[in-house]
Amino acid sequence: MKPNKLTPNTNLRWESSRMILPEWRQKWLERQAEHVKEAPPMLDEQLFAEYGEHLQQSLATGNPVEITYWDSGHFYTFSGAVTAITKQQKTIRLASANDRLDIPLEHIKAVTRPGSSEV
Amino acid sequence: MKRTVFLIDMQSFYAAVEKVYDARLTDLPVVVAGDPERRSGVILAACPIAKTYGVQTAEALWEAEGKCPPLQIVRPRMQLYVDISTQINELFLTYTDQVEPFSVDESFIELTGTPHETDPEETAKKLQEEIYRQFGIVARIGIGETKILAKSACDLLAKKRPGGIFTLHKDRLEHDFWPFPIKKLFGIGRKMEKHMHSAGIRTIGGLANTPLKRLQKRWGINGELLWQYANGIDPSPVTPNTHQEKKSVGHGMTLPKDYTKQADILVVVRELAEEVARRTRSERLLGRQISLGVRGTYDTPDGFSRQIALHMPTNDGRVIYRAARTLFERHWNGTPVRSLSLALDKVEPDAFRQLNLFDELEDQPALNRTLDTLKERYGADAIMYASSLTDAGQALERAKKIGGHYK
Repeated sequence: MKPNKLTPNTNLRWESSRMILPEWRQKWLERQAEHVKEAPPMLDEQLFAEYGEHLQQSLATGNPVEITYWDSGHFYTFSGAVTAITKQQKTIRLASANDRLDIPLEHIKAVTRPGSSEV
Repeated sequence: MKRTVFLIDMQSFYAAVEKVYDARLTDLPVVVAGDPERRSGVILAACPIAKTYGVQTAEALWEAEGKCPPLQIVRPRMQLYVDISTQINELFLTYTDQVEPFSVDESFIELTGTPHETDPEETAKKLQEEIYRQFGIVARIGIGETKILAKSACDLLAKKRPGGIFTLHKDRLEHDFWPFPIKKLFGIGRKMEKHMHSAGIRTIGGLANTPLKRLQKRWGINGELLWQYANGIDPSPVTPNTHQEKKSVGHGMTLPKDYTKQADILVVVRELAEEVARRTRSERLLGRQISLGVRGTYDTPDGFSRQIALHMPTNDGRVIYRAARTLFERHWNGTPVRSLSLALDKVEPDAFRQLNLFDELEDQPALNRTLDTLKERYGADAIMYASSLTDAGQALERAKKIGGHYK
């Protein structure tokens, strides 16, 4: 049977009598989407080794890399040169012209060298 | 299990926001009105000071000015109200994830199963304080074990009390709820009030104690619903994802003057079609039925509302326009038109499309994507049909508004 306003566990009785501006609804859904959190990345060993090489190289040459990393449920990217890799804390330190960032190794999702994919 | 539900209402929301943004207004009678330049504008919100002069929401501006000469009239800023409203709802999310916004200034929240339910009135006080501290807005809170009890507690009781908080207990209905006249019950409009009176029902208690069979026989499902409300019965859950699902995407417009020429009316129909299509696309949906509603003027209140099914689901403005135009030409009897509404119904996700062997796909997805990107980046008035630039067009004016009022 088609649900009506009396059907338990449905919300039709309230939905049929409310006024919601479409602009309000859109904004609310956008904000809600921001709250959806993503799980931290899981890298297989092969990828991890490959990224490790990029990071080592950047540390040695000072050439920048672009890192996609996870922080509290969201992914971000940062471009800069690796200035330190600390084995004890398992973090890397990146520096760009005007910013500096420490990223735990286990939060790294991807490392690319600018221009490397084209070669 | 006994539930704990709050209905939280922002007092004179639009006017309260304006007072927060302009401290000079704090102690003055303030209304937010449709269009202050036009004296026929309507009051969207009146602050408590203005209300002491007898000013009411929804009355005409000239009426309000008559009652209250020092009245401060503020133009609405709908985008600001929308933004603050969503922020307030995010504050509720720090109390419970069961938050159901009911309108721009009202939300249901369910505290059942959270630590806050041990002392609901204390929680309500804390929440009131927090809303006031963060947003400068006074909230009134109705508490009950169902949504209808929370809503009634707020509208009928909390709003009338100094603290702005009231709990409507199930075992106190006879004392707190039933003496109110029947028109005060949620869901009773002017028409239903008359019907109730003619059936000898004058108070909420009168309805609550009428045999259910009699109400079902006379008013069917709605009769039973209202009987449940009068008894505080409401099994509907607080539904956070209530805004996610969509059955229809519609748009309506009241025209600034009467339109008499078919060509002019169709300009607006095309604008509505494009707007409906754009919103359908932004939600990644397709629809397979078009509804067109046409209302006449005060003197010629003719109108119609008709549907037409499409061969294939669509989210393309041109396809929607063609169907709407067919409907219009078929049903319009030539009398002046004052308002139009257009909806795309029977929507489904735009995840896959059933290809049709016989009809060619009329949609132009690549073109639509380009249009959407342009409008997203530069505003709704960035690109439009040349016909919208004629006198009949409304798109330019409409791009400045939300819900018919200025952003």
